Amino acid sequence: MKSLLKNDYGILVALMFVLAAPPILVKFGAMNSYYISILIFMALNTMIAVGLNLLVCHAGQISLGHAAFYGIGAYTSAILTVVYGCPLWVDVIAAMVLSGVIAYLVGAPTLKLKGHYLAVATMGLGIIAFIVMNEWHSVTEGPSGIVGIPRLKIFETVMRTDMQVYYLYWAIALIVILVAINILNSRVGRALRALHGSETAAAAMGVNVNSYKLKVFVISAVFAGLAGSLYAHYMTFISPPSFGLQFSIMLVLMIIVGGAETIWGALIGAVLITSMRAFLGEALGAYKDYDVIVYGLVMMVVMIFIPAGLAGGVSIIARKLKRGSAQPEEIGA
Amino acid sequence: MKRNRFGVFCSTALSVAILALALSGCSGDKGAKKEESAEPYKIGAIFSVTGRGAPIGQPERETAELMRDQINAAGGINGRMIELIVEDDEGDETKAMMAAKKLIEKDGVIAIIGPSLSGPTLAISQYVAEAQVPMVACAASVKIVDPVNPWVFQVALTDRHSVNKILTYLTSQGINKIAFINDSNAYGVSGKAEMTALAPKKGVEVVAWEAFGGEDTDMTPQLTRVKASGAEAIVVWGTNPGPAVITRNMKQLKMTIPLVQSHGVANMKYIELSGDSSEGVVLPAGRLIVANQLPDSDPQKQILLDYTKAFTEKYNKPPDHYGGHGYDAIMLTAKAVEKAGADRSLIRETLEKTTGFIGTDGIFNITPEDHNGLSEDSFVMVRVENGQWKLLDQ
Amino acid sequence: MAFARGSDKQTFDGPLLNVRNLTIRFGGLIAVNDVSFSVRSGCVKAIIGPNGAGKTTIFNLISGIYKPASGEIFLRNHRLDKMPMHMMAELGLSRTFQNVQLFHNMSVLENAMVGCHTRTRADLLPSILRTPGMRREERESRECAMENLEKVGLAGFADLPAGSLPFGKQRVLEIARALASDPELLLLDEPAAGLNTTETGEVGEIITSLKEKGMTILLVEHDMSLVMNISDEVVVVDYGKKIAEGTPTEVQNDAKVVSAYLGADLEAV
Repeated sequence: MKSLLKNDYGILVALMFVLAAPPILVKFGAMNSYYISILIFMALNTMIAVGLNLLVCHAGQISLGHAAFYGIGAYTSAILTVVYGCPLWVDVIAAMVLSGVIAYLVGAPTLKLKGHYLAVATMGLGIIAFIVMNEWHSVTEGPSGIVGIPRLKIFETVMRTDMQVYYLYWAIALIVILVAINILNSRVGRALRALHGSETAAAAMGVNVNSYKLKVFVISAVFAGLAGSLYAHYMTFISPPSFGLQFSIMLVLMIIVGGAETIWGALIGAVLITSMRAFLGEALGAYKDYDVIVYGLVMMVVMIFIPAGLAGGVSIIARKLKRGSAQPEEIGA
Repeated sequence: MKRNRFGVFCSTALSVAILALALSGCSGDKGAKKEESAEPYKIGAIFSVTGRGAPIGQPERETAELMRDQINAAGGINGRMIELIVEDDEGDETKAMMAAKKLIEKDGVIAIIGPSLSGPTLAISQYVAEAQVPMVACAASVKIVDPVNPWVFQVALTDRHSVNKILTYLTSQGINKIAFINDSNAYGVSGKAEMTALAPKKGVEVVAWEAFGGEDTDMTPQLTRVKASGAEAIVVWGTNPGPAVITRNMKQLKMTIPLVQSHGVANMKYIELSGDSSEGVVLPAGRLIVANQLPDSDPQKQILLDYTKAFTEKYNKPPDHYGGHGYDAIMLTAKAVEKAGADRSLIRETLEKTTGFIGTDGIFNITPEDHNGLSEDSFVMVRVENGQWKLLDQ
Repeated sequence: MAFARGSDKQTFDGPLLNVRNLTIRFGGLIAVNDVSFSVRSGCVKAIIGPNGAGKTTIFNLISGIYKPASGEIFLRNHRLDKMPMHMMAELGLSRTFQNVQLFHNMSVLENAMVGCHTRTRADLLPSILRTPGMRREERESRECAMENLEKVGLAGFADLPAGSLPFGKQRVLEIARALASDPELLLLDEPAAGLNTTETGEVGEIITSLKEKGMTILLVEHDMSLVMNISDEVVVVDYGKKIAEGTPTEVQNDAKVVSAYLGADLEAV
């Protein structure tokens, strides 16, 4: 246990070093600055995927509507800053709070549902949220979107360049990962994994199953709302199609492809899916029109051959290698 | 859980590897800061080739590639070829942003044409301005050029032009009480906003406001209310298939007041969808769909006929006005590059001084205050007769 | 705060568990019909009966998985039958399952640590911030879980995934997990089901040692030799009704019991 703890935090530190590399590479001309913007989107997707990983992979609840919270976060920030001149960062907090409150109100009745029913209910939430963004013209400006969302500031420095945004957003993403790790390595995290394993047994051990499901749903919504708010501040423009069902499904893809076993699956999934979105067309060269098909094929291959996801697949291989090298893993019955 | 130790470690290694992989394509590209005379002019294009905007983005890309080939075949611009780098934004704003960053920072383009849709255009407008790269957008929202973004131009005819053209037509017919029915998508809502602002100025009263959803298959409730409102004509603002449903429903309800559609359905698909009911429907459209009916004195006629011929030859289908946007965007840009070379600010300044440029959408007179440069005269009124577009007398 | 239960042990002197007139129907079938019994503190009591007699249903009623149609269940003076399951654990009721319900996605140690859930309080915020209080609780949970694993002889397997244990050890881990909540009443649902003779013997030893430490236990069990060895009292049910109650010797000689079992099993004892 201790070693695992040490390892998760160790990985986090290692990740910090890895993330320090791109700016250096850009500085020395070994890497194009364009990639920094892709890394920014990776940071945003990582924040949402980490929350969804807690919800789906560790607590065993599904959500096909998380784009709703991403959208709620983005629209909260956009409306507060553009229409009401709300101070920067206050709107980010407000976006997180509102996402959490709505998750609480929606989650209280729906999380009592299980399996497919929960999937459909959360999908309904996503659809309703999209309709509200699209149709509530007086507040959201409807399908034409909100322009002129200000960039974030730290003290008096406006986050104008991609490099500044990169540092800021990845710092926040690392904090989100840290929060998730801390939750998982605590009484709360054990309760979540317990109710995933067996709701009855968890309840028999005193875990308030409904309350914990609601808690993790709210946490994941808060992460998504945070990412949405930061997305709005980075793009400076938002409109409803960014927050539709398609994005919800992409989020679920991220955590499935990444792997359910650890929180790092979320990071791997976010990095992989974002890269594929950005680079697949380029990589295919003359066949770039077929990128959507290749994208689908890659998903299928991952699911068929590595159902545990990439992170899971790697740890399975690792385990096998390790078993080969003498340490007995399982006790014979 | 000891069993996880190594696995977690490897997972991280993998994530690091993926990051590295993602960044591996990076070495070597330094953008196009140095210019050599033999190098081609790099022009970026962002079109919605797939996804929700595909019907718009595809003809735009086809046209842009067609015109690139024509220009290059004729020796290029100032002896240099055009290299057109097309990115597909899938109608998605995030993807459009990634595409814009790639074109500007990695490929080092001197100008961007597109995007096809308003959302992606607005999403990248601030960025292209900060990066100081001129962009000629093909999307129609008024928000793209109002307020003016110094680096962003627009070739599409806007809803404002269209509403003005319709209002002029209506008043010339002695009609001043109308009903307005809009699609609840971005296009319809924008048309409604323009109508709200412009109708009073032209002395037209909107006596009924109605709306429909893109999936609605029956509009009789809206039309029944319109019937009761005493409107003398109906103006519909939407994209297929909703406007065709209204057209058919009006026939079923035996409503005889004039029906005016918007330029959003100035395509054969609309006539196909509404069948006989569309006879006599009037709408504003660019000159492309009635090119051969234009008088020879019309300055656009030759260009439109040439473009139609070339496009039909290459792609075996007639062009539509979306392709026309692609034509105007690349030709305006090429024209500016001819004068300004590869200097982005100079291209911007040249674009801003464009006068009398004859395109498919109309004659462009761009000023620092007006980055669209078209006027309502770029529209002509057409009527459906025998399932074809018929140009109305000006 | 942590690891202390605000208890009313001193002020209550009736039976620890009191089951009164318990009835539940599934469709037209009366699965449990007007069953009453009680369990004294420090006593090991077994519910036995032929297959389908309603033993496990009674168990599930006491532990809150089913709600009775009528009747009452009290743990000291707390009424259990109106209470959500997780609250019962707070009161000191802990159970194992006939069909082992471990958390397979967690390690042996973590399974036992979930048992400490009711004895700790650190919620989201302290967990996220890893406050000193939270860390102390974690340490105590780990120590407590480890102690209970030692009690059942699983300390050596602490870091393994729970699912990788052989079945007999999984059963024992369930007992350790239940013990980690420091229960006042331990419910064991067929602790020997599916075990071989050696493993059954081990479980018997564990139960005996718990009994020696004064743990109150209510169990359902098929293995008669185990029941007769470890129980102080036995309740016999058949067709949802209680047909006998008393010491093992008493029930073995009860005519109704003997006829319910057709003699066979009990004579073997």
